[in-house]
Amino acid sequence: MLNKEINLASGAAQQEIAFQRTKRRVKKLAILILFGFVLIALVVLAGFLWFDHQLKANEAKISLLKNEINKYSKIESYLTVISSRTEQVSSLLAKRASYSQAIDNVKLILIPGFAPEQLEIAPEGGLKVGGSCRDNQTLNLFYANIKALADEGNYKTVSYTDVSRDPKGGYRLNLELKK
Amino acid sequence: MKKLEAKEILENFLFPILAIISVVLLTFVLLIPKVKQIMQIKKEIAGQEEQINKLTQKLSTLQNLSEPDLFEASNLLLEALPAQKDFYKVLSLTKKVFNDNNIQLLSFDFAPGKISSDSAGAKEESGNTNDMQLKVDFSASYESFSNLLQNLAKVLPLMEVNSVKFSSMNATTSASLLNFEGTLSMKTYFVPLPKKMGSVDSPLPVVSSKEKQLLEELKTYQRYEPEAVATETTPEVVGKENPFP
Repeated sequence: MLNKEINLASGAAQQEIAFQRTKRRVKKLAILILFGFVLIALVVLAGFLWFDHQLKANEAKISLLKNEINKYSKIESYLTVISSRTEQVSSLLAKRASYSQAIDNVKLILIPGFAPEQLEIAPEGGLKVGGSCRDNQTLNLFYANIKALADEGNYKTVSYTDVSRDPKGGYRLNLELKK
Repeated sequence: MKKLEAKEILENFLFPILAIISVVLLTFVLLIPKVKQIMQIKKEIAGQEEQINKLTQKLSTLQNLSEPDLFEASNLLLEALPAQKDFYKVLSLTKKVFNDNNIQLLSFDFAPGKISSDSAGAKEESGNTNDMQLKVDFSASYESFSNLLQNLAKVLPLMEVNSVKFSSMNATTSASLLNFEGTLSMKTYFVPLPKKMGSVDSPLPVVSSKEKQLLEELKTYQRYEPEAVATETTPEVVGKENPFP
């Protein structure tokens, strides 16, 4: 059997039917796009409102927290003073030279038989000494004590600026011990 | 297929054309800016949440701190390193330390200069510690002087010996140790208070264990106590009450 479709409509009518079908499809598509857009717009708007609400709620929370913190401004200022002052005090204490060691060293220099004429504890704990030793024995002891001080690492440099023999007897000395 | 003219297309497809043009226009004019705004708000919210966390933590730390303890600690540190030049306090303390160590204070030379915080404030910004120089002429035995140097290192306000110049040394009759006369050059410090005493948004300074140790050490130092001023006592009324009030 031969299978054949028979179209009774005229060519113009067929064209009109096809046109109307396309028109409907385009309209449907447009409605779909419009609906989709409205849906997306609603979602975006809802999201915007939600986030805006959250932003404002956070702003209120921050303001509340700041007000609470402001009540403790005294404590904060005490902490600022403590923090800055401890740093400065620590640095001053670390830099401060100890003179107790220097005065102990003076004891070793002022031996019996040594007549001091000049004695100065310089900044950083260095010593400037001037005086005379009564005799050779005193000179030996004085020299030994100075050498011991230098050997112990109390002073970096020991310089005798002047050593002379006193015509009346004894020895005159001027020396500087630097840290 | 039938050929359509522009007018015919416009008549038949007016709604779809208008709909698509509106969607495209609204997408650019409304939708995209709003989405960008949402992104911006989300970023701001993230920042806010971070700030809220920090502030909550700061508040909780502040609530757990003891105000009297901090007041005492800051007072102690301000005694160690005063905010202003206070030559009278330094002088009184020096006198007291000399007296306590049986050292005769012969004279002193003090140049406190301007007692203003404005000039000092400018220096403070650059992080400098300002000092005040003091020279004291003294007469002392070796032991007393040795003790004095030790004690001067443990007084508040903090003092530092610059140099010691002995002008005369006399041997004592009992031993070879000497009696000294000389000049002690010292300095004491002051630093103006920080201009910004913390702000709500700034993190809270933390007092470390090392700093706590320093505070404990400073508590052992000798502190300045104002001398008691002798008050005039009113004479006791004897006899009859005043008959002519």
